[in-house]
Amino acid sequence: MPSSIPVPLAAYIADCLAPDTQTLVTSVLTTPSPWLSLRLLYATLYGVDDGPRHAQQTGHEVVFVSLLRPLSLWAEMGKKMGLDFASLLRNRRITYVDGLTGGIPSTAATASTIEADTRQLPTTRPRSITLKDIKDALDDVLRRPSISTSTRPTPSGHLSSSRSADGVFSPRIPPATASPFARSVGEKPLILIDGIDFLLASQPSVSPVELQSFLATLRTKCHGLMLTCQADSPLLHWSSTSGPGHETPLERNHAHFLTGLAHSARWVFQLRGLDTGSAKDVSGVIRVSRGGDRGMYDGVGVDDSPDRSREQDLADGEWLYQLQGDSAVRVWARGE
Amino acid sequence: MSHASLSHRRTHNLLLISKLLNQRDHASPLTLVLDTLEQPAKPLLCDYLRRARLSRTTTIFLSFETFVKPRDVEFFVQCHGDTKAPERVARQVAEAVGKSGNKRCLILIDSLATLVSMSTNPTSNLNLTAFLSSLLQPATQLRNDVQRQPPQVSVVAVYHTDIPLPYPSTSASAYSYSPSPFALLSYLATTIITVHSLSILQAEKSAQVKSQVAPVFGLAEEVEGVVIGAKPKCMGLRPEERGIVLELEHRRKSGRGVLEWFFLPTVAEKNQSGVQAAREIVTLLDDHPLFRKPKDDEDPEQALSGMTFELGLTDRQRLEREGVVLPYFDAQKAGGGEGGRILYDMGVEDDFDEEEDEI
Repeated sequence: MPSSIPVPLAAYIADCLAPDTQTLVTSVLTTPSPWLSLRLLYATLYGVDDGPRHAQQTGHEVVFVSLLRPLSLWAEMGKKMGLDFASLLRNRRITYVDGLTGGIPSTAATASTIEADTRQLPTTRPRSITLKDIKDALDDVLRRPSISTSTRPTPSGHLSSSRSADGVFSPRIPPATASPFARSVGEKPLILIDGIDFLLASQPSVSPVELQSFLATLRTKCHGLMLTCQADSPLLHWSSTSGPGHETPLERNHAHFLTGLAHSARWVFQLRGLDTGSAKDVSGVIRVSRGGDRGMYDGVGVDDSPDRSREQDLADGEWLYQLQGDSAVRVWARGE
Repeated sequence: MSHASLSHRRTHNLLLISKLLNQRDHASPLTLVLDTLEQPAKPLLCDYLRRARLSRTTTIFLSFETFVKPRDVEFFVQCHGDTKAPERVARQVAEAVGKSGNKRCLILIDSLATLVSMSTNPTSNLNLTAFLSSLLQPATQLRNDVQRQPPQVSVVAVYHTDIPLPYPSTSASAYSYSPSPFALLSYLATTIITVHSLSILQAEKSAQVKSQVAPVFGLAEEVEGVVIGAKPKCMGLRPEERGIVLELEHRRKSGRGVLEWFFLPTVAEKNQSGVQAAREIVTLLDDHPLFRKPKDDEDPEQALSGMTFELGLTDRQRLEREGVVLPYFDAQKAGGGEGGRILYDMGVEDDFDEEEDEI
């Protein structure tokens, strides 16, 4: 059975789950990033490996903030790879902060079935998508006492037994009700924010410094921070496209913000199109590079913990990927 | 000749970098470390911390983008988040310096980006120069023990050169006449260390050998979607030959600048202790196996060996040559000396013409 996490990326994604890390996913217009966000989400909830042993070690609750894409999209894409958003939301393994419908009353007239379904789910809606309201909403979510430790059923062996049975490919939906995670009271959730740059773009009054300090305070309160951001040329290379001195505030602030994020991230996943044009069997290129946060422990001295030494071995890499119709993804190195 | 200058540089500049990194004699009060995403300055900061631990210097770490307290740091000041105004940071640093009672303090700033963008915003009311000097001179806070010598404080600050300044707010028009924060910082700094990636330098060098345009990496590539470049791997290097390259610019008190390229290995041997640990690990970049010049260029003996005539001297010839007193030395003696004077007695056959001599 193919794993949900592409094998070449597994080691990197596992490293992103270490405590106090920031992960940055950048994408361009032709290569959107939801597939990778969902895989990061999956790895956070169930671990990178398929083995149940690993799943017990890594298993964090997720606060998922979506600013650009609706919940119906996430639910539909997630279903195909084995993330049952409905039950995860009801179990409070995922707390969904809906930035898209924030402040807008729902129109039930033209709703498809999946949209109607997702509307019933417990989500957190900030009053509006201003920075302040989102800050309040997140503070509120984080302040909630350890969400479901009392209501959660005791761990059972159900998960591992069901998985060993099926040998053919089928989207694996782990029974979220029987999750073997017992969150300790002090454990912090992981925060995934999709489209964080939208806050900067939609509100000219928000300065990048404010947004950075907001993220920094978030980072101290959570287990880890995962962010997705746009890295299209006009937003990143303003000096060449418009000439120095003629750039717009958005271009310059975005470049400032994104470079700053990359400097404080441990890993940067960069999605882009093929340099040579487009091809039917390649969706894009993914490059995984070490960001500016290399950890201050790798200087001199005793570095005996296995985690650290393994992490040092991970080198930057680049692969091609293809999104297939059933939402599976194939990742391979050039020439394979 | 180049050989001699190399050994001269080896002696003097290695002493200098060792003094700077160990913060001996208060050699550089403000060190500016310039880095990019291609080669962050974290390994250099680690080395500063390691040396500070060995020399028992108090370390104060101002963290703007570091969230885990590094080892070897005594005072960890979290500066991220909007609650911390720069004045509070300065006060905390002064308290830490006072508390430690140590004569030598090292303040590390892991990123100046936040401070710099705040300083361009008039509403934040931050003066970068004043803030840095308040870090360097915290002695004013310690009124109660004036008789004590003020502690030696050095600041090492990292500036990410690839982060552009945020767009100035509309009310900042008055600021367009003032120098950019980066220009200001590079004027203030007594030492500037630029951090380079070894693999990028190697790629540049191999391109130069083939007279090709040097490749660029990361943001400079200006490829859509690329934030961090795919650097070529340095193959065939031993672990102790991996590391980062430092480009040093040190301004002496006399005003003379020293420029040098160094290599700092990042993987150090384990079980370092005592004398072993105090040994200098930084070398000149020219001594690194990838950048070492080929031997034949350096050796003058070999360059002369292919000629058809003899340019060298025998021992006897050299002794005789050294014995010759040249006329201008002799002329400097009192009375002008005897060796260089022109003595001429006019004979009868000489037709002395006074008019001709006047010319």
